[in-house]
Amino acid sequence: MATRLSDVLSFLPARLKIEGSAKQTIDVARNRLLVGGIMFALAFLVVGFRVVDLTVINEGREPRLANAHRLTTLEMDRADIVDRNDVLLATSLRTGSLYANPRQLLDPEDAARRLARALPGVNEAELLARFRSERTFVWVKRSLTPRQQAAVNRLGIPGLFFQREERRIYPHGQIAGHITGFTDIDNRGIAGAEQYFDERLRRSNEPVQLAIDIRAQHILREELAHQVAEFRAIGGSAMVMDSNNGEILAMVSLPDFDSNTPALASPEARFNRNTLGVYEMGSTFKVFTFAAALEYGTTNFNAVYDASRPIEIGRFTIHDFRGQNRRLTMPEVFMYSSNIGTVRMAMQFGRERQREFLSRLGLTRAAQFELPEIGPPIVPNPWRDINMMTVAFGHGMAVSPLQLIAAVNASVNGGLMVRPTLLRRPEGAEFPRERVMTAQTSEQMRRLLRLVVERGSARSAAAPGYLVGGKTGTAEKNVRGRYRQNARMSLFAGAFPITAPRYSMLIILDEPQATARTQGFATGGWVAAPMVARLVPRLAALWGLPPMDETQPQVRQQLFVNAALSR
Amino acid sequence: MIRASTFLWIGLAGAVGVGTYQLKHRVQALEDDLFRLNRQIVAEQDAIHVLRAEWAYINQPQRLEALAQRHLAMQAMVPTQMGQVADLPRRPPPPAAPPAPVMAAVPVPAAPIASPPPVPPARAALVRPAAEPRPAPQTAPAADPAPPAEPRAASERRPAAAPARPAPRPNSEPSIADLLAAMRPPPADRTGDPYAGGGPASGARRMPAAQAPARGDVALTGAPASRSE
Repeated sequence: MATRLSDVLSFLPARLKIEGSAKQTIDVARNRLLVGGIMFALAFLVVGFRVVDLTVINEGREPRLANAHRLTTLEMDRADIVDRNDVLLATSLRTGSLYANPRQLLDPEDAARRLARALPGVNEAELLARFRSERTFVWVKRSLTPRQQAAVNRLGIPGLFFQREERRIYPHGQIAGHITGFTDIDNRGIAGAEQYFDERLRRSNEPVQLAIDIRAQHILREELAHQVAEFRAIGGSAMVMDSNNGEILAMVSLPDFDSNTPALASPEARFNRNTLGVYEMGSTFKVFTFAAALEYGTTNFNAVYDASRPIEIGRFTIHDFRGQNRRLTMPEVFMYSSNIGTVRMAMQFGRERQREFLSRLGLTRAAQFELPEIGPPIVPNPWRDINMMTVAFGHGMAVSPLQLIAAVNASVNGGLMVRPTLLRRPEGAEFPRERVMTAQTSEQMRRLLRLVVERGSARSAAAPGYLVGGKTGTAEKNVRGRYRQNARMSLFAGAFPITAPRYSMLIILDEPQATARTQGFATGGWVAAPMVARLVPRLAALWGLPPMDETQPQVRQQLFVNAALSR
Repeated sequence: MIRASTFLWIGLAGAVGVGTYQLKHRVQALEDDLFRLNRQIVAEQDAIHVLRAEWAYINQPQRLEALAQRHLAMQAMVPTQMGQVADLPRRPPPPAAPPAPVMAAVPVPAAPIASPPPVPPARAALVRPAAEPRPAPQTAPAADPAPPAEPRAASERRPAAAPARPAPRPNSEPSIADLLAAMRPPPADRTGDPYAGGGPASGARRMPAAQAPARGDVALTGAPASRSE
């Protein structure tokens, strides 16, 4: 080995003869040098090949590809929000903001004068003061339209620059303000869906599709606004929900605001009554008392309750509103909305089971919903007998309208609790449903709710052909611990067609005033129910729900209430 | 001999040089083309984006309803106007036998055909669009005779200059309307304006006044006659 190497390395002085241990040492050194050299050569070779590979052979196109990709798709900082039919509810438009570097301005006075003339809302004196400052950056105007930008460019003033920005636009902001919410100046969501889906909207370019149908939203808002105006109410809220999958199809809270100009809105207008407000829901709560009694088997259609005298407990007296003052059968208690009869019914199953049943319906915990504005319910604690009695007819416990509509929906759709959702559920998607009562209980509730529309307090809600069923309610408002006689909430909660509910709805008017036409009444039956009769045909026509013959034998049979009903 | 080969090589080298130069330039030109086209695509996408926002804005249901009320003699549907095919009376059997003298005396058989079923098919067709995604502008003009809308619009003396602007909305804040109105830059100088859309799109940007879509939607959002109770 050593000799061969010395042959190869012939450039070493040939005459140099080294013998013995010294020769050996030099051979070792040579070998080491050689091995090291070969290794370095290989390493450089590898690096060289890789460089060629990167720049010429394999990935030479890469930078260009990256550029091409970046340039051929329009990327916005924030994704769109669309309704269930892909109608834009929120989108971002590019705008430019104009700023100036005063040190580069040749003639500040002239620049200020010409800019003030070209741009609306710019004050010449103010601008000149800013231009005379020593700074190198002053805003002239934020969010210019392309037209204004072109105008500024045409002025040809050196020292002016554009900062590219995006601005959030809500084409339907006037009617869906509470749903979409709005963003701050830095395009961060600070209310509504904009806030709830903030992360998602900023990270992905995929639009967020809501369950809302903007056409239904408009119809609902128009009808509610009509009702609020007619009865000079201070506000109102209304919701329509898909009975089967819990999609919120329309959600209106009045007064409302335009999400394009949230700064102009009063705090009352920004308040979403549907999710953030909690109210005592009055007689609509009787739906749950009846459902519980049917579910626990403590009542049936033939049971009789004595409503001839008010119930006195402690310092409270429980009256009926326009009482019948006699013994009532169970369906009559519901039909006439007798507080006394309902309380007696609740006493039969007791407070523990009442509490358990209401919890099952999600009325004791804050609702889960895709909006940040969620109000937690006000639940009596401890739950005494007096609480049981008042809660039975909807006082002493406050829940949000969203919770109420979900619970009413579970009572009519066959007994399945579906969480309300603001997001559109994909076709055929699985979602959790929880059985909260038997199908039979729910079926009996449907008969009772139809009875209220046919013969009870909600007669004006009947929309012929659509089999509306529902319960009205009137709650005296509790203001700072006192119930006020003349401040009330008037409600209607129901579903249609009641034989097999497709849509559930809830209508609430806040402090409606009686008119001459309503004979001095401002109760749910006079104020909220008439809106249903107008609303339902419009929604049904919109969604292609055909009207049906309400007198068909099988319909009559499905809704028949087998009990003595006097009138 | 040596000279000839030298010239040959010099010539070859020159040819290759010229070829490479040409190729490089052509590639560069293509790359510029690509870059320009990509920019144009983005500009078009941006224009489409703006147009979608504007489309959504001018399709506000409340605006369509107001337009429909002003220009169309249509009312919201009532349930009694709807029916189902199954409800139609059965077609009477064809008069196969020679008409008997009794038939001539009693003109009854004609009645079930002549008297229209509760639902004229045109009404039924109006119901249908409700189920579809709303903006269906292409189909609507075909279904309806468009001309009636135009003369009426003219007779109303609507200003032709800015037909698409929903100006007469009394309560609307001007911000979004102004913004969207001004979203299209003047086509004269696009040079200084980085957001100006391409040429072809700007033609499509001007939206004719409330054309047929309003008509298609009237069944959905038309004001109910019952309102004037």
